[in-house]
Amino acid sequence: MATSIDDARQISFEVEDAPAANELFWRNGWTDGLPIVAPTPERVAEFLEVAGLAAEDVVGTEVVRERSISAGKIAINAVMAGCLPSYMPVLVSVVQALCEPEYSLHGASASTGGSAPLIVVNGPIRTRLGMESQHSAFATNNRANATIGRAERLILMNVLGSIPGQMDRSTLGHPGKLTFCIAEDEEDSPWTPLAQERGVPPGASAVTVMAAESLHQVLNEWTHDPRELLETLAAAMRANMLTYSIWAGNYALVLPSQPRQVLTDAGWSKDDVREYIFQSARVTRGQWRDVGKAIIAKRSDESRVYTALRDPSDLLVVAAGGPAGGFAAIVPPWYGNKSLAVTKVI
Amino acid sequence: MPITVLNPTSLTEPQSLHAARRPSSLQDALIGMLDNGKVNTDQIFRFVADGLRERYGVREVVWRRKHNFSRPAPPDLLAELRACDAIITGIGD
Amino acid sequence: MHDAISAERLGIPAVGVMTNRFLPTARTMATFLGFADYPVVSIEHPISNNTEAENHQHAEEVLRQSVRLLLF
Repeated sequence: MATSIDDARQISFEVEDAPAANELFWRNGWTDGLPIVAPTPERVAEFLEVAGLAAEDVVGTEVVRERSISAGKIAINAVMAGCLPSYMPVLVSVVQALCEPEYSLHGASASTGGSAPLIVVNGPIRTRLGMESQHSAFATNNRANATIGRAERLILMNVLGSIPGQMDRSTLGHPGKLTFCIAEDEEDSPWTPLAQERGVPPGASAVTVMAAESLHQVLNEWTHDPRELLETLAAAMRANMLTYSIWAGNYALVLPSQPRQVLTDAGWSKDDVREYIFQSARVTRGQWRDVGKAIIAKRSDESRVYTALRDPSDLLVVAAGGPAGGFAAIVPPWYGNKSLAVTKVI
Repeated sequence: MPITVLNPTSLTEPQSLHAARRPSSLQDALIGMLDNGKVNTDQIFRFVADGLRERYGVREVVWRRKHNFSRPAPPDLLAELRACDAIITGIGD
Repeated sequence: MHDAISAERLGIPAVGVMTNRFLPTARTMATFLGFADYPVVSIEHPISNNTEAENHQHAEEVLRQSVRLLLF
């Protein structure tokens, strides 16, 4: 039996059956700890056919590690994740987005901060792939949501070497690293879809990726005042600024049906939401004292104000989540604006 | 049921292969036919062997059959065809 | 596919014969073996239910393409 050192460079393997493939891949450190689907050439070829790509076509290049991500390797990891061939175009766009310089893929995926790329899917492809945008939006039992996010992680590990303890120095990480893919609820929301706000033509499908920490959920099922509702979310952002990282960058705000209705009933658009949050989600340096960080507070002017967002457009507002429950969520950035969200048309 | 699976990592760096030198004619050549055992391969290959001998002056056709069509031919089987001037393999379907 | 490329690696000119439905898989495998543009002999799918006459027809096609690919 070949050792994993020998296996590293071997292009293909003959194994007894699918369970044997799973054991081989686990032993070689090629999985996320969960069972994988055996990536046979036949299965991989189907994915490439759907995307109209050849195995050797380069989809993206991570410039720091000087690693190219080929269509073939994306397809192999997509098969492993349990994707269907029809998901391949989404993954191609995800990889392209991650490789854009402003995403800073190397830093975002290597950092002790342990972020994961949140994927937000927009447009007709959501319905074509049967994605879930409502119930348990961040942790569905939906194949497309779950496996697209999973494939992304497998690609980062296997093609870019982001392996925990090696190039991935995450201290804690978070469950989103296993899978972190949501679909915006465009049908039940009068708001402009996220991708469209970010320049994608109406009616086109797109993905937005954002280097993100774990979501924080808030609850405010009592108010009908849009400002009060957003204040709860702003408070979560302020808490994140103080307890995690004070630096301004992309936050995502995820609003399910019930809180969304508070806003839309009052005639608030996504722009109105952004403006309010921009003004409210700010702290002073001195507030670090309240959270056990007096040592760093006193290093500089404690009256200095820090904002969660550099400007309102830093806030990604997404309509998603189940029909009942006064819950909403913020998704904080990995580390200020060291990584910026990227949107790609599919 | 044995299967082939592909390495998902980027550590594999396949060397660009160059095709083996081709002869300018098959006259007096020794041709190997590697039958993968799938239905009708034997008959099709038999007709091909006839055509090679009758129309292209091939001297001899050597025929070998794989025991397991889903695995690559074992090295000893390929070794038996080592002396051939060319090899036809198949039929994948 | 694999066998033809194994033969090429041994310095023996070879062709892989397959039905056209097998082409995408073969192309993928060839790429991963380092020979993306490896030319193959392709015949109509399927062959499993061929009559003898159809086997003859397929053999003609295999012969024609193989000779072309095996010669300089």
